[in-house]
Amino acid sequence: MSTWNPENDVDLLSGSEDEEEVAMKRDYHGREALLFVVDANLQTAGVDRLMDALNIIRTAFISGILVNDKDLIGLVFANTKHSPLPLEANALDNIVMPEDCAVFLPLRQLTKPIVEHYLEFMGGVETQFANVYGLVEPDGHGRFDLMIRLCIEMLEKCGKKLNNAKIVYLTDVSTPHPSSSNHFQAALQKASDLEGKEFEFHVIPMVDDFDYEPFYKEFITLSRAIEMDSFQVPDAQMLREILADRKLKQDFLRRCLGHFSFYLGPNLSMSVQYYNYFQRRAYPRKVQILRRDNSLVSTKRVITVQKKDEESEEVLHEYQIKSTGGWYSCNVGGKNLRISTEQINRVRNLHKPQMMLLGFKHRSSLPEVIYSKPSNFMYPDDQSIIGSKRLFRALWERCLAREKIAICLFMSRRKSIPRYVALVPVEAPDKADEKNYRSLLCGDGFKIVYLPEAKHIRNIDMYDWNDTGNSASDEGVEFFQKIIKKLRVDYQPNLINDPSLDALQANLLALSLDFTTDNSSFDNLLDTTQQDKRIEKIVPEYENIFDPEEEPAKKRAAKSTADGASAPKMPKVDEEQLKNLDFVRGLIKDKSLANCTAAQLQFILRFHFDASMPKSATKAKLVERIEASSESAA
Amino acid sequence: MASNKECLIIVLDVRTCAAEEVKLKSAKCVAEIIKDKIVCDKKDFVSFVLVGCDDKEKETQPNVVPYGDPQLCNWHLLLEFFKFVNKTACEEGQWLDGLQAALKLQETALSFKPARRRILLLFDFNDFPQDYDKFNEITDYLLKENIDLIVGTHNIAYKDNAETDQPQAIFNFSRKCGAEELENQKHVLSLVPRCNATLCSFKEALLTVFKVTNRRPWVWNAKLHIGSKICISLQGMIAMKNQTPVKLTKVWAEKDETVTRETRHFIKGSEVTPLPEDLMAGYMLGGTPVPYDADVLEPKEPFPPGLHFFGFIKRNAVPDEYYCGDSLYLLVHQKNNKAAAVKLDALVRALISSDRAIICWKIFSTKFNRPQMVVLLPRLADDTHPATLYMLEVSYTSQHHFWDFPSLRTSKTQCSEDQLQAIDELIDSTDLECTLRDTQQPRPWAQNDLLPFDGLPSIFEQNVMDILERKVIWNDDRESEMLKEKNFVDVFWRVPEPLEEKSKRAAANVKKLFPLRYSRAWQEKLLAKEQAENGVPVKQEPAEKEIPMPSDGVGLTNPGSDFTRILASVRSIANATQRDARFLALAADTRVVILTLLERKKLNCEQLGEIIALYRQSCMDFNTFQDYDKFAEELKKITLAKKHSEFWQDVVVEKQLGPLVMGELTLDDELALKAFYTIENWQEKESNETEDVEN
Repeated sequence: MSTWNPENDVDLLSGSEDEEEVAMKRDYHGREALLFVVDANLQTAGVDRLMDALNIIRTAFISGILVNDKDLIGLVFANTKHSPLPLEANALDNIVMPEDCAVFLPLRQLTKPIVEHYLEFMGGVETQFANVYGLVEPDGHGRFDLMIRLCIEMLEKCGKKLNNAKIVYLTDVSTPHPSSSNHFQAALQKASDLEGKEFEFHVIPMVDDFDYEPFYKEFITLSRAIEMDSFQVPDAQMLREILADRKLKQDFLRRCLGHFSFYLGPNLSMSVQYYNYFQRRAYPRKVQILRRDNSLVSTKRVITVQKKDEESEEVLHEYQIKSTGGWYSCNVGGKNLRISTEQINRVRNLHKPQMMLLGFKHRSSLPEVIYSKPSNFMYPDDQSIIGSKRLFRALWERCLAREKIAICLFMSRRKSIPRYVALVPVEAPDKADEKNYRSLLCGDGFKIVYLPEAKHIRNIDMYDWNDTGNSASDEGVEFFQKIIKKLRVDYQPNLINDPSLDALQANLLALSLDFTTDNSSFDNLLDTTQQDKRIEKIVPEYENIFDPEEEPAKKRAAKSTADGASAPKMPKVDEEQLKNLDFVRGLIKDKSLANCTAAQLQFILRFHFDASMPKSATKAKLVERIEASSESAA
Repeated sequence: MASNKECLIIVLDVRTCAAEEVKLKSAKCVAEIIKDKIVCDKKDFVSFVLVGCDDKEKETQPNVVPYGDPQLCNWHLLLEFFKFVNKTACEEGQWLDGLQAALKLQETALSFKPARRRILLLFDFNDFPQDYDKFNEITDYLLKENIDLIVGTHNIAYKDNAETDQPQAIFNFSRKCGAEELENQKHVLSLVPRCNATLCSFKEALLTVFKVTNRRPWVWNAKLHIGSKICISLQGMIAMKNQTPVKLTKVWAEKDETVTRETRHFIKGSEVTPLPEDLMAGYMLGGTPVPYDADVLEPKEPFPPGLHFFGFIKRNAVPDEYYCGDSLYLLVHQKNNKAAAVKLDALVRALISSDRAIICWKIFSTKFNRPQMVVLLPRLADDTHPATLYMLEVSYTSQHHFWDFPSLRTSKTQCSEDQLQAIDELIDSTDLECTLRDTQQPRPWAQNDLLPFDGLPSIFEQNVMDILERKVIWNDDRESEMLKEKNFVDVFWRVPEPLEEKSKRAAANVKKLFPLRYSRAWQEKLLAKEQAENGVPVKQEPAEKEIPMPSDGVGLTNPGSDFTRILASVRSIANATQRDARFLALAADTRVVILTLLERKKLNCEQLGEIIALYRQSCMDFNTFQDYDKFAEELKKITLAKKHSEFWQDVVVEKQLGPLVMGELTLDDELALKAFYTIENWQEKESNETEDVEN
């Protein structure tokens, strides 16, 4: 380390801008692919375990078809005795099939027929799986490396550009081959193939006490290019649960929202990535369909600008603009100044994306409730600046130990608005003591809390709400304490689903696959019977302790005319008269059009001049228009 | 309708004896206020009063010149202000006279019915004598009329008030003051107790002007139902919202132009004009569209609006990581509903004592009827607030991500004692709060914090304002220079000034101890991957009916069938001009596709042959011979450059895809064609070619 001179890499730093640009532009297009591989060994412990695995895949299929309609999904059985062809046999034409594997479904975008086919297959598994697929002899150890090769080949030859490919292996065997065998080494070597091709590998243990040590710990760390000692043993049951939601613990490297440089000072930066804790609500994609033949109709909104010659009504020019087109106008002393959207974008782009340290505060200084947008998570990235991870760790560890938060300015991507953020150090919970949803929430790193700008905070003066009579008696507080005791619940995020999404999905499944799912939850969402029952003994006190609520006096109603308020506006001109053009001309001449109501003016325009103006038009404008029309008619 | 507009009169010191710094900062302050009101489209009324003008004619309030009746802010006013503030000045001028003039303007502004009236006095309280006869009269009047007075000046320091623990402004005593100056300062300080005036530095004055409290916020009226019996009437108001206040008018077309908006429909890329009754709504189920008519399927009663209780959870059970939405609501009891206030107070106190929060379903209204899970966090009553609940939206489990982050503590990232020490130093030397705490020394900024959480600027808004200001003032497009200058942008991207030097040193020390090196490896890997992707021939998709066509152009995957399909739709166009135009566009697309396919390392000759032949045939049909001939020449050039002899022989020569000939072949035609097809000296061409490259 002593030979290293910081002055020497100044050049590299100044050239870093291009690299950042490239990093921001990394291509994230393409589809996701999910290839399930089911170990035939699962049948040896009784068909139930195999059924469990297939059921997980079933729910994954169904949630996949509902939510991510473009994803590709495939299914392979490993360590089988026979290799029956899939329904679509020619899909394997260019693929080398190893002996002890069987492809059930090549990678496909799910459709209704595919899901139906799978459901049909599942119906017969208990009786037929052993005969149709069987288990490779003698010991159930098929070649793991060949299985991985098959998966890679299927992913590569799926015919679509992939952005994210995952192989999900459901098994209950802790190692595919004895550690001394050649096959074991060959299997391990496949991990680097996966790493090079950026395919993720996940093992989903179908037993709770799964041992990662003999094989998978090394295989997984190799396939992700991370250090062995940073591997964290996941909870098997949790993995299965979230997989049924068609989710996997996601690989941190590939699925970030963006890379950027975090500057701790001038010329001192590390490369980091940031992530979101949740995605936008994913509803099934709404489309328009032609009633006749169910074909998909895509729509496009078109904005057309047209200029017509006033006299001849001839179109002088016509062009289409994008919704981002047009310009902003700003008025300077009666003159309109034009600001194009491009100019506004340039204002957004005045600074390049990065994060810059402004200082530290104590953790307690962050108000308990502060919110302006959902938080993100930040983790180091050793790819573009080697050594970032160590610097990041040092900062993180010291912030944790000293209960500090870092205040930074953060511009996440080009053309985005720079924001003040607080970096709060967070730590992965200890495996042993926490096995709830929080253990899924985060790893080691910083939570990015977005701080509201001064103008985001509304300063409300509670003068009209404050009152000495607001405070409740101790009796009242006790009452609510009793209620709280009766109606406590444990918050489990996976028990609460979006009710409207659930209802929609249930209906869609019922419509297309004849599934009936329990959909009463939506109808009974606000049902209070259970709550009422639990608190029925306490509720009678409620009326004794608290006064009944009285609606505060409504604002006084408008005064009636008798009290001297101004009478409602009455038209001063007779409707019949307005139908007479000469009468109207007279009004125009006398400049007394303003005596008519707006409705009457609209009527004049329509009746005599065959023109109309928007309802929002003011009286003055209407008068102006009538006068102009009358002149041109004359 | 509730209105929150204000009337703000700004009194400025322009006396020749006033410090230049004060005058410059005052003008800047006013400009910022006007700009803010313009960009955020505020409906406030503003006017100015100058103290110290060379204008002694008047008997009352000599040397004081008001700008005119209060008016709405626009860029014109800003320009006028810059002119106005440069009026000829003199030494004389009484700030109390200025205040009086301002009060008169406030009176005229009463006709606009402002919700708030404020006067901002920016003045140098220096050694020049002032007349304080009317001091009591004016301050009493301010108090009586409920007009807020903000006094901004230089030479202000802050210390913490021993009783209230709040920052308090004082005059900086570090330099010597004359008797008159002390007298002036004494009166200014007494403004605070006499009429609740705010005394502050220029920077704080600006913040104070911007920080307006609202007594009549927009509210969402809702009832919180617990079970079917318990019910509390609440009002929800926005406490924080992620929303830019910048409001610019968007214009789509010139005044004499008309704008029309329409929706166009396409089936597999070709435009159709279905009747509204031909269309129906549906959802994609994987690759299968499923018709879905929500109205027919389940005509349902909307949920009753309000908050519907779900359960009492531990206070911190919902991790703040799962909060979503763009705003934070504060729920308070319904105004003037005492019973509701008492119930809410009891509920909040019970929640706090048992460390619980509420989750419930929020249904905004009958129209916006989708239920949303929200968490309600209690907040006890204090001097300024009654008992309230914060309301935050919670994301659902189906949205959550589960990341797999390797542990940070590994042997490879292990740090030495020195390294940790350096980080500690960085933390200490960039501390935004600690260095100031526990000292009774007056400080130049108001809070014990260099970057208080409630005073963070809106950078984007500030940038927009600055750029517009320059544009307006210079009235031209020297914007590019301005963008290059960029100082006004970078001002935000730095450590607060008092810490800058220290933090720089600490960072340099960290840099010395942590080796960091740029790597290009991942970039090369990315490049290699891209190239590999181009090389692999992409397998054809099965022509399933259910798979929607990816785009409306000729794609690289199966150009032949794309071309045939689009050509058929082009042929069906009745209008000949349109048809030809569409064909030309298709032809151009196709040529690009062919050339792209030729770029691939491994050529798919069969595919190329098919598409070229199809295109050639269509050129004959549409009578665009010349286009094809040009293209054929281009093909030949590329073939030579890339040495695709196999492609030439197997595709072009074999299938006779050379230039088109009209009518019968003449001898000349035959010779020309032969010359076209023959490439004798690949070798020679190659060497020429390489030479060309080298040259």
